[in-house]
Amino acid sequence: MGDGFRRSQVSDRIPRVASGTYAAVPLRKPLGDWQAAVVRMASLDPITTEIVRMRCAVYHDCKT
Amino acid sequence: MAADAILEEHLAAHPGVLEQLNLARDAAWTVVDNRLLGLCEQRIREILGVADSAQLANWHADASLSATERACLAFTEEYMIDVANLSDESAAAVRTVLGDQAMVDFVSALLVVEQRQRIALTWATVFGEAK
Repeated sequence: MGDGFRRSQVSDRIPRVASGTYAAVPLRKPLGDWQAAVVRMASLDPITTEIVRMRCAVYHDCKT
Repeated sequence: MAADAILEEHLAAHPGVLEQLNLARDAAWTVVDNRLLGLCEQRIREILGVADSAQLANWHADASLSATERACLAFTEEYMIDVANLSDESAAAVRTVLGDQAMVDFVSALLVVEQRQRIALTWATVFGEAK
């Protein structure tokens, strides 16, 4: 994926909280673990999975 | 049917995923004030049409709600309807009453409770009620 695509998808919003502020560890860790567990599932084919992931990332402004 | 039961039935074949999902749920309710998160969860259920009552449908007129609860309910409504276009004003209002760290915790917890409700609603709609 080229830089042009990435630049066009990255928000120019001003951050709404101070840089370096993350969810508290007791919440951040299970959230990360849950997302990792979902990614490890294999029922859905990789291409469909990636299309859905990219669509969600763009819509949620995840900068991925 | 409650979201928990729907998730448990449909994730029975994926116990690892269910466990992580439930750990995230437990953490959300540990990190954020339960009354505040409960109000927002109730509003989420009302917006999705799965609540038993619409007790918060007119929350704007409820003078008993605190400034924090009002800011978080307004945020929740925008989050539910169009998260990509959530207004700076609504985000700033939550930041003002909670501060940076608690705001990030609140939004993360909101994601957890909203996700559970949406997944349960989707599965109940597509596959029918749990047996």
